[in-house]
Formats: sequence, C-alpha cells, structure tokens
Amino acid sequence: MKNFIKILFLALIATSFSSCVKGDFDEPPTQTTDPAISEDQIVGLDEVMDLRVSGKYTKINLDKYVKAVVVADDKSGNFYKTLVVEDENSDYGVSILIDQTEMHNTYPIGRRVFIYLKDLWISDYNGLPQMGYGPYTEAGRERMASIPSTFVADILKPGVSGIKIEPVEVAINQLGELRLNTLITIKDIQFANEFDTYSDAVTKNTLNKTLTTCTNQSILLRSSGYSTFAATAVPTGKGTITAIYSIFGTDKQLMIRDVYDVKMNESRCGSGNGDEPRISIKDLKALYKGVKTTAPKSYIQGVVISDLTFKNLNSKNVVIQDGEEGILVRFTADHTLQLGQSVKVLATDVELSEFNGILQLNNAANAGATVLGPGTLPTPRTMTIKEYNDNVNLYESTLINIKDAELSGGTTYNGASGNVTVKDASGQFIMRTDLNATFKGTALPTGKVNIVGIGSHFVNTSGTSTPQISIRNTTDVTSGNGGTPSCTDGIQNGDETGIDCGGSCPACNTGNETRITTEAVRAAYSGTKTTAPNGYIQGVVITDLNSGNITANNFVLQDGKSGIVIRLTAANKIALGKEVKIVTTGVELSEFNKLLQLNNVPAANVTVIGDGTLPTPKEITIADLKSNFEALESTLVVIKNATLSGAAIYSGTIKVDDTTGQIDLFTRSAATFSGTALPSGAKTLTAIVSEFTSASSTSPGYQLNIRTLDDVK
Amino acid sequence: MAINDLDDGRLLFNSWGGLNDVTRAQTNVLSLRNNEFSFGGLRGATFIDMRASSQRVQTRLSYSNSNRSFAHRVMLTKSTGMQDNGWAYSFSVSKRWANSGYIKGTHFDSYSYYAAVDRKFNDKHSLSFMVLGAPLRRGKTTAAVQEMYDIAGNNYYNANWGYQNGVVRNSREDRIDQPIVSLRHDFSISKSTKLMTTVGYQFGKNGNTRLNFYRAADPRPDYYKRLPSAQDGDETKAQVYQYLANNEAARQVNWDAMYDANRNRIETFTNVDGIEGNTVTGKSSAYVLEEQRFDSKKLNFNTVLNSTLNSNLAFSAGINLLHESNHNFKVVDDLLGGDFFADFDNFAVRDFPGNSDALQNDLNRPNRLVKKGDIYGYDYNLNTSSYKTWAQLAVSGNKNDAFIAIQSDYVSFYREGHMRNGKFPESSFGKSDVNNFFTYAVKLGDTYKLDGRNYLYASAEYKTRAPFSRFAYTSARIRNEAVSGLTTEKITAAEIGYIFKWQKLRGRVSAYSTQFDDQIENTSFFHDDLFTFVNYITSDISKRHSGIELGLNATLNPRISFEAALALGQYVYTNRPLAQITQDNSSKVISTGKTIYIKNYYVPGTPQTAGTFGVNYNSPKFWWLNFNINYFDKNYVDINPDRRTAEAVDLVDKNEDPTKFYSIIDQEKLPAAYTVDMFAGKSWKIKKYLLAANLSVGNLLNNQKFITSGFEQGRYDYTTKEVSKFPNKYWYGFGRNYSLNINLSF
Repeated sequence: MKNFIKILFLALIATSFSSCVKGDFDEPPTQTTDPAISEDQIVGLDEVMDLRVSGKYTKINLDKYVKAVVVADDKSGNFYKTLVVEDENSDYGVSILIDQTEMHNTYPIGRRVFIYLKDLWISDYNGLPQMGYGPYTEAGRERMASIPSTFVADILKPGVSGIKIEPVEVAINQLGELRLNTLITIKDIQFANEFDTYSDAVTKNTLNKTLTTCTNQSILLRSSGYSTFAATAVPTGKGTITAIYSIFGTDKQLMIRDVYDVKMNESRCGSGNGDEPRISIKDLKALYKGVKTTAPKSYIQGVVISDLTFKNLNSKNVVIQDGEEGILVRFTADHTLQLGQSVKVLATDVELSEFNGILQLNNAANAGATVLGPGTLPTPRTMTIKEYNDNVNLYESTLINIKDAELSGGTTYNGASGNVTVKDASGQFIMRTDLNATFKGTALPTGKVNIVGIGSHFVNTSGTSTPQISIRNTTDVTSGNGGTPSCTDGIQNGDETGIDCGGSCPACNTGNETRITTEAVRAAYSGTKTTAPNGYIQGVVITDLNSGNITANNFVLQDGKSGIVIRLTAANKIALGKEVKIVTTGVELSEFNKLLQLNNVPAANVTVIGDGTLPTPKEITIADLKSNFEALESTLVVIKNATLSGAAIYSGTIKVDDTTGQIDLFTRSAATFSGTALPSGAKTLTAIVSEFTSASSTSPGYQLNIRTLDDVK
Repeated sequence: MAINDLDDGRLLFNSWGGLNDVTRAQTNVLSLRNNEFSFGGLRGATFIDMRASSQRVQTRLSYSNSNRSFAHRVMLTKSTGMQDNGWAYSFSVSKRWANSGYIKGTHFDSYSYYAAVDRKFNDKHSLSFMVLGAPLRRGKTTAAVQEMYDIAGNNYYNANWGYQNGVVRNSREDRIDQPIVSLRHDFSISKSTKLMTTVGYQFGKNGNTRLNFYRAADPRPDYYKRLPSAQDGDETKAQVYQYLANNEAARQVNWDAMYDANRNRIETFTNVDGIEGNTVTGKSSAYVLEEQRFDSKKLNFNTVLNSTLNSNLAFSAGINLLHESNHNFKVVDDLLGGDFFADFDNFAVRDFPGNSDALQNDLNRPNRLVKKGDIYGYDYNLNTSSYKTWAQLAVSGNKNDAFIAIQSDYVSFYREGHMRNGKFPESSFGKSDVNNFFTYAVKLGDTYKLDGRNYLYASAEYKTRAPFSRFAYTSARIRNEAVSGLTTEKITAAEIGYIFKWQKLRGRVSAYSTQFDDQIENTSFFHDDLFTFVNYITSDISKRHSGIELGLNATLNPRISFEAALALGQYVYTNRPLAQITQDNSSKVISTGKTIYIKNYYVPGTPQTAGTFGVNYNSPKFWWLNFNINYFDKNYVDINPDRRTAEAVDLVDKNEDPTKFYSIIDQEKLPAAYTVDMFAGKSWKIKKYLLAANLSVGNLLNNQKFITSGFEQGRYDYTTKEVSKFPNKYWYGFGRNYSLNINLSF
C-alpha cells in the first residue's frame, strides 16, 4: 500500500508539472508575400469600370480580384471610412467605402490589396467612381453601403506593403475621368487666399479652398474639419501639390493625404524677379493689335484712379493712369489698391486683351502689385462728349470731365439697369453704374451737372461700341452752369456743406450725432408718418439676407430690447450679426402695413462697424407676445413647444401654436427654405417679430419670420 | 488579520485558493450577531484559524477533476498537530490547472503553498507563524449581448480569446500573486482572559491584462459595428450573420491582424523622452496587450482581548490598525510585433487640437515610447489608514442572551500621483489632500428563550462608514481632485427572528431591513453623445434591503432528511441620487447634480427571490447522496443611471410614444430559473488509510439559459434614443458541471 501511495503521489506531481498552461505565445510570421491568388483570378479595374453606369448601382459579380495599391488611407482623418486604391493592371483608381475607422493600420498607403469583387458593387457619387456593398435607401435617397467591418479582411486581402506609387504630373485642364481616384501632381500652383487654414477644426466642417496655378487655372482643395491638419495654416508660397483627384458634380477637387503632399515654398506666382523694366501704359497699350497677346517682361506704374470703396467696379479690377493714358488691370483675386495710391504692377507674361472693348491686363497676379505710396491724381481732362466718343480708345481708362450735361433715363443712379443717359451740347453717352455700387439707389441729380469719371465703353458681340463714363462716387457729379440748385438735386451746390445738406438745406450727417436708443425712435412715432429724431441708432442686424426671407432693401436692427426695420433706398448686403450705425437725422419714420420702419434711408447714413453680438432671443409664450406686441416688434424671440401647422411646407402663411395661443409664421417665396417640409412635433422656434396688417384688415396681422431652418429646433 | 481591501472593501479569495485542506477551520458568524473576533460586518463575518496546531493531524493527498474553472487539482497536506515538544507544523501545496475551463479560453494555472509553525512555550504563551500564497493565472470571460450569443450558437461565447498560430490566446488574464505572512501571539492571561495579537503583512502583485490601442480601430470581436444589427439593409445583416455564425475565428480576437497592423505601422517620433533632437523611427504598435495592476501592500496589527467575567458575562475588545497602500498602474505586456507603443492619450489627440501637452500622460517624461514592462498611461497610489477599536459585552441568562457592541474607526486616505498628466499638470503629480473620516457603529441584540427549543431574537445596528477611496476621486487615474461633498455612508439595520429546534423539525424564520444612505458609486464609460470617456459619479444613493427568510430542516429518520429554504427580498433604491459627470480628459465638469430618477428601481446583482429544497440520504455504509432543487427569481439587470435622466428621454413623449419611453427607462427583470444540484460521497477505511471520494454535479439538468446577471451598457445613443443600439449584456451560469474529488489521508 505504501508503495502504491508513493507511486500515486509521484505520478500526480509529475502530471502537475508537465501540464503547465502555455505562457508565451509564438508570434505569427511577418507577411512578406502576397496571398496566394493566381494570375488568372485577377482582372483589371478597367473591366470593372466598364460595368459602371453613371448614377446607377451595378453589382460586379465577378469571382475575381483586382490587384491594387492603397494610395490614400485615413491616417490624417482627411479620408473617412474610405480607401483610395490604384489598379496595378490599368490606369484606373477607385474609392472603396468601408465601415471601419483607423484603417491605416491594416491598409497603409503603399500596401497592395487584392479586392475580391464577387459581392461588391460599383457606382459613383456625384461622378466619383466608388465601390461598396450595394445600394440601400436612407432618408429617401439611394446610397452605397460600406463594406461591413466584420469581413473587410476577406474582401480586401492585404498583400505586401511599401510599394511606392509615383503620382502622375498633370495640368488642371488635362484632368479627366481617367485620373479620378488616382494620385496626381500639379506644379506651379498656390492657394488663391494665402492667409487661410486648410479647414475648420472648430466647426469640423469640410471646406473647399481654391488653388490657382501661375497660368490661372484653378481647382478646389477639399479638406475635412476632422483632419489633423484642419487648423494648419496653408503655405503662402507657390509650388507643387500631390493629391487624389476627385470630382463632385462638375467641381474638380483635390484631396491630400496629409500636409506632406503640399510643397509650396517658392515665391508666389507673378511676383516677378525685380529686374523687370518699366513700360509706360502708352507703350503697353500700343502692343495690343486687336488680338489677345502677352505683355513683355516689364511692369507698369501709375496712380489708381478707381475707388474700390464705393464698389462701382468689379472688386478684382483697378484702373491705373500713367500720364495721359490709363489701363484697367484685372487681378486674379480681390485687391486692396486705394484711390490716389501710386502703384506698380508686374506685367510680365500677363495677358493683354479686351473685355467688351476695354483693354485690360487680364489675370494679373495680386502678388505682382506693389503700393509705392500716396500719388497725385491726374487732373481730369475736360472734353465734350463728342470729343470723347471720337477718341474712346485713347481716353478710355483715364479721368475725364464733362461739363454742363443733363442726366436722364431714371430716378436713381441705377437708371435703367445701370445705364443713365448723359447729354451735353455735343452729344450723348452712357453713365454706367455697377450693380454693386453703393450709390446706385441715390436719387439722380437734376439740372445741368459736371461729371468727373473714368472713360470707358462697351462693345457688344456685334462690335457696336457704346461709349461710357463711370463715376467713382456721387461727389464726382457737381452742379453745372444753368442748373438750379436745390436741396434734392443730388449735388452739393449753393451753400450746401454736403450733398443736399448743410447751409440752407437740412443739417448734414456730421459724424458727431449723438446716439439715441431705438426705443426712443419707436416712441417718436405717434401713428402718422414723421421724421425720426436727430442722432443715430446702433444695433445688430438680426435678419439674414442670404436666406432670402426679407426684401432686398430691408434689414432689421435690434438694439437692446427694441428693434426696428431699416428700409434703404437700395438693396443692401449687410449680413446677419453685423453691428451697424444708422444716422436717423431727417429720415422718414413711418409704417408699412403697420410695421414701423425707418424709410428710404440713404446708404450714406449706414455705417457697418463690424461683427456684433446677436441679442439673446427673449423666451416668451405666444399669448404674452401678442399682449405686448408693439414693444417686441422687430426683435428676436424664442417660442418653446411650438407646433407648426396649416401647410405641409414652409410657404406663405402657416400657423404656430404653443398651447397658449396661435400666431402666423410668414415665409417669402424667395426664401431659400421655402418649400421645405414642416417638421412635426413640438419645436423650439427662434424668430423675428413682425406685422403685416393691411388697410382692409380688421384684426392685427401679427406674424413671425424665421431666418433659416436652423431657427426651428 | 483582516483581509478585505480598504480601497473598495472587496475580498480577494484568490489569496488562499487551492488551500482547501488548511482553511477548513472556519467560524461563520451570520448577519447581525455578536462574535468574539471583531465587531463584524453587516452580513456577518468569517474567521479562518490557520494555525498549524489547529490543523487536523494527518497526511492527506488528494486529486480533483472538474469541468468548472480548473480541470485538475493535486494537493498534498501534512500536519503534525501540537507535539509533546511544544512544536506544531503544517504545510500544504497544491496545483490547479486547466487548458480551458467550462467556457472556452478560460485557462487556469495556479500553485498554492502554505506553511505554518506553532511554538507553545508554556500554558500561557504560544507563537504561530504562517506564510501562504497562491500565484494564479487565469483566462477571463466577458459578458456579451444576446445577439452575439445567438450567433455563436451558445450562451458561453467568450469574446476575450482568439487564435494565435492556431493556439487559443486569451486577451484578458488575471495574474495574481499576493502572499500573506503573519505572526500571532496567544496569551492566556488567566483561565478566563485571553489576549490574541496578530501582525500580518500582505504584498505582491495583482494584475489583469487587456488590449489597448492607439489610433486604431477597436479590436474587440463583438464591437457593435461588427454585428448584424449595425449593418444597413436586411441582406447585409443576413450576410454578416452567416459569416459570423459559420466562422468561429471571426467571432474571436484576431491576433494575427493586430501583429500585421503593428508591423506595418512605421512611424517617426521626434523629441522622444523630451530630448531635443531625439528622433525614433520604428514599428509603432497600434495594438498592445497591457497589464493593469493594483498591487496592494497591507500591514495589519490586530489585538483581541476575550474575558469571561463570570459565568454569564463575557467581555471582548480589540484594536485593529491597518495601513494599506494600493499601487495602481499599467505596464506594456506584449507589443504584439511592434517596436514600441506611444504613451499618448488616445482621446486628447482629438479633444485638444493643437495642445501638444494635453496628449502627454506624463509631462515629467514627455513623448515616451514604451516597451514591454514599462509603466505607462497612469501611475498612482491610494494610501489608506484605518484605526479601529471595538468592545462588546455579552450577557447570557436563563431566558435572555443579550449583547451590545460599539466600534469607532478613524479612516484617512490620500492619492499620490507618480505622473504629471498633460491635461492636469497642476493636480496630477504628488500627494493629494488627505481625506479624514471618523465613523462609529453600535449594535445590540437579544435572544429570548421561550423554552429549550424555541427562541425569539431581535437585533439592531446603526453605523457610519467612510467612503471607499477608489470611488472618492473624480478620475483617480489622472488627478487628485476628490469628489465634491464626500461624506460617510449611514447604515441602519434591524432583524427579528424565530428559531425552533424541535425533535424532527428545526428551522428559522426571520425578517430584516437595512437602510443605506449617502452611498457613492463611480464608473467610467464611453459617452456616446460627448464622444469621450466620462466618469459618472453617483452620490447620495439610498437603498433598502429588506426581506423575510425561512429555513427548515426535517429529519425523517437517521438516513433521510429534507431541507428547505426560502428568501423573499426587496432590494430597492429609495431616493433619486445625484450624478456628477466629468470627462476623463477635461477638468470641465459636464454636469453637476443631475437627478437620477431611480426611486423604487431594483438593486441589481442578486436574485431577490430564492428558494431551495433538498433531500439527503446518509447510508450507514459510509456513503451519502444529496439532491437540491433551487429556484431564483426577481433578478434585475444593473442599470445605466444616464438613461434615467431628463436628458435621456428629452423629446420622447410618454403619451405619444410610450413604447419608446419605457424602453429607455424600464429595468429588465431576468428570467426566473431553476437548477438541480447533486452531491454524493463515499469513504473507505483501509487499515490506517482513509480513502474518500466526493462528487458534486451542479445544474444536473443542464439548464443553459440561466442568466445569472446582466447590465445595461454605459453607452446610450442620444441621437436616436434607441436602446437597441447598445443592448444589455448578460452572463450565463454554467450548464451541467461537476467536480470529483478523491483523497487519501492517514
């Protein structure tokens, strides 16, 4: 027995030591070869692309593989749940949608993948070819499903890594369908706006930035707000970009993998070498022989005679006069050259051409312009209209002075679509006012006037030339001989200290007005049209002109707890949230269908101070709003638990109900969101309090106006 | 010595696992009764006398075979008892192992050892020395959603393991080695007065492994995005289902893919270790296996005086001093094919764009690239001291046995950070403020003897308890900031009962109620709406545990007896606690004093209704057999407090969409279940050898649908408010399981 026990004991001990649980694990081997997939199982991506029908979903259904290399992964976050691969057996690339994040660990750039086609579908997203797991419907739209992460490794079989794909060097105008989803390189390119970031890391929005080549071809660079470089400043110079070529509808786009794809550290396009000779504008103009040409290595120099402040010319344009002659320079982007500055502009290789008859240095690089300092404006040459008309090509783009002319064809500078007829004893031509000119709504002066302006003309497609003059600002028009000065002639004359103000006319805006509250302005209205109190009001614009839910001439200003409608004499471009100052002295205070407004406010009375802080909308019930309506008119309010009804869509008048009462919500047909379906259920509504009570109405037409759909939450 | 951890009060049974032979000398004191070892906890106390002289004099060799957590156990124990020369020796060694336990992937590997020596100097003094330990490595299981169990085709799916080179490897392993040494002095001052003094020390390591990843996709095979329910379109759902159902490896951890990813990620880091110009390029692990450690060092001094003042008056008193230092940190356990792992905060990269300090886990050693064995991520100590004194007076008379006991405890704790976290450079490194709590307890009780066979008893207790240090910091891993408004927990308990010991029937009926107030809980989870890890600190929790219990034991004859027990409980929350929510990586308090609407919700974790009925047969031929049928009901899942807030049901109208509203707030009751257990044993006496065999079969009828516990996921989709996106996870009880034990003693 004792032996038996000894044996048993030893056996047990032996078992226990030989039965150790495995502690260290073998490492799996490193992959140094591709998966065993025979050549006859591989097809080119071109064959797959042949199956694609634009806008449709096609199941590939091939028991084959595409052998491709990853050219873009999701490492920087610029691509999300998407890999871009380039075929090794054709020139094509494709985007593959995969329901997986951080794929760069398994599918880094340069890794070969074998794409099993059997269950995949091919389609395109607004023109960009993509492969995925077939269509499904979301919110009524067909979309391509991503390959489920569960078995992505069986569909995208990883092969060897470290394969270098060389980008193809192309010019933007060579980019066609074949290049989509492939790696390309573009040389001599720069960011149009060099003071910018790639995207917006705060809002996480995906943003497009314009890239321009030195030959003025441009393309968008699209970058995700989630990318690691979203907040990185773009390079200010020019150079080379390597990127994946993409498309959205007709927009050609580039997407970089990371900022290492952008190498732009040379001087910007068109900034010259510094050894260019000066060419007089006269000599430059002489080089133009009726067909588009290119300026020689040179620069021009002169004084700016156009004024960007009053916007009576395109914001990319400037007119420069050099002695007796001048020329229009059109830059590739908005410029900041001021009236009266002495400037030089690099002309080397810039296109010299006519645009509707006006000779211009076209697409000059902004980088080629240098401000030399304050200059001396040339004296406008006095001439008759006939003299000008007979020598348009000589006098165009210089300052001219027409005496004792009469203006007709409209009540404002806008005239008929921007044209006002100017007649003097010798003949007539057109005074042209740009659509964006700040003074286009200003009343046209009456009587004989003198006009200083930039000579111009418009040649239509059949070659007919219409001579024109463009003023810089209304002060270019002064009273001529034989005119009868008045306080409404739109000219500073007699003892006026400004246009139609001062002296024997009403007081001018001095800039020294005292601020009055909007509440005080409202209180000054006693039921009939009157003149607003002297002074100025200041507040924040609570309307959003971009959404179109307000007439173009109007905006609503809120100043503390009070607000008021401001109706200008012309369309305005004052954006939501701007802090604005309005001189009220002499301005009409009246009601429009019971909605109180400062009416016919001249543009000169309005000063945009900068970005303001939007007032916090007052939370109120509909019942309380109605019982205290006048005080709240033209202010922002919030209505909680609001139900929208009365129509299926935002259009015209619908009803808002919050259980305490009901009020109209009015949407203009021009509003961008007009026609959008109404939300169901209780919402929180932010809106501007408004009124439209027509003369025939028996009850008050209280209403609310939202700015955008973001006001309904 | 006391062995509960001071930081959260939990008990580590693993410390003496596998030493069954020497831990038999247990004294269990139930619920609110008096005892002569300590003041005792609410649920009573257990005392294990492990002195060499207390061990049965024998040599014992045993072997067990089981399909539960381990497959085999061998154990050898020898005890001499107190010998004439005044020495007693006892030792025991065992090994338990399994390549896989009941659930696949749960390997088990443990040695245990115990050695004790007693020296009796004279009738008054004896000294006992003891050392024990049980180094353990064990593969763990994890709860899963029912969808995953259904795909796997059984309720024992375990997402923790995967094949590596064809071998099962579990990513989550317990690795525990916390030996205890103690020295005890017994002093018989007089015949009626004894003084027992113990100094004990516990030390060693306590770790568990898990996968970690940095700028990489979640490697868990049951990550919700991988499941059919997360797919778009019925066809894809079906394909994913089929794929997972037919492909075991796809349901498990993919080790090979992690190695592949790590080897392919070649990255360059600059200014490594904060050294200007130190540039390192290499395989930058996307995935690593890390070991999270909470190594505990405990020094305990305990002295107990027991004095019998006269035949019916006994006095006990004691002092217990405990100092515990818990070192919390994590180390890289396996780089899985990579060269290093970047010690950067995974989430700060996104949450703090442009702040390069924020992603540093330790500004004292910035831009670290860590390797196997390196401490990284977090590193801090929680140090707790407790100074406890207690006293008890017990009176026993003809009609009444009464006692009264009081205790005071002074608890102080603080955090000491060993890293300067980049997000909290001023509040992460060094010592925190010290939190001090004075707590006390009083309890009293009486047993009234109606006659020799019928007793009535009643007892009551009121106590205060210091908050556990583990819950006392808003984000202990990162910073020193304590939860605001820390206060002691208050407990009021009472119990009454009737005990009868009749000739054929014995039993007990009792009713109890315990009210807990000012409790605090602290959990961390991924918050779907904030897209970050948050710490959810729930304070001012009140609960009441009340119920009635019935126990019966009927003896039909010397061979056959029956036993029955029934427990009807009602464990509920009794107020609306408040939640304080902080982001793990931002000092911004997301929400303070958010009301959690859980009044009258059930406290999870245990069936509140349980019953058992058993039959025992004892053969005079040295064998016995026992069957028990058990019934469990009213078991509720652990709730996610975030789903019981006003925000969670915002814009879900109770009247318009009651189905959805209640799907968010209702607490799931797990199905009722019953099981049958069997125990059998036989022993043989062969000369001086005693051979015994025991067989225990649990869940004889193989009920594999018994959910033992479940919990709601912390993730909640605030956008859709669909709870089905992150459904409840469950743990299932083992199906039929057995343990066969054969031992030979002499």
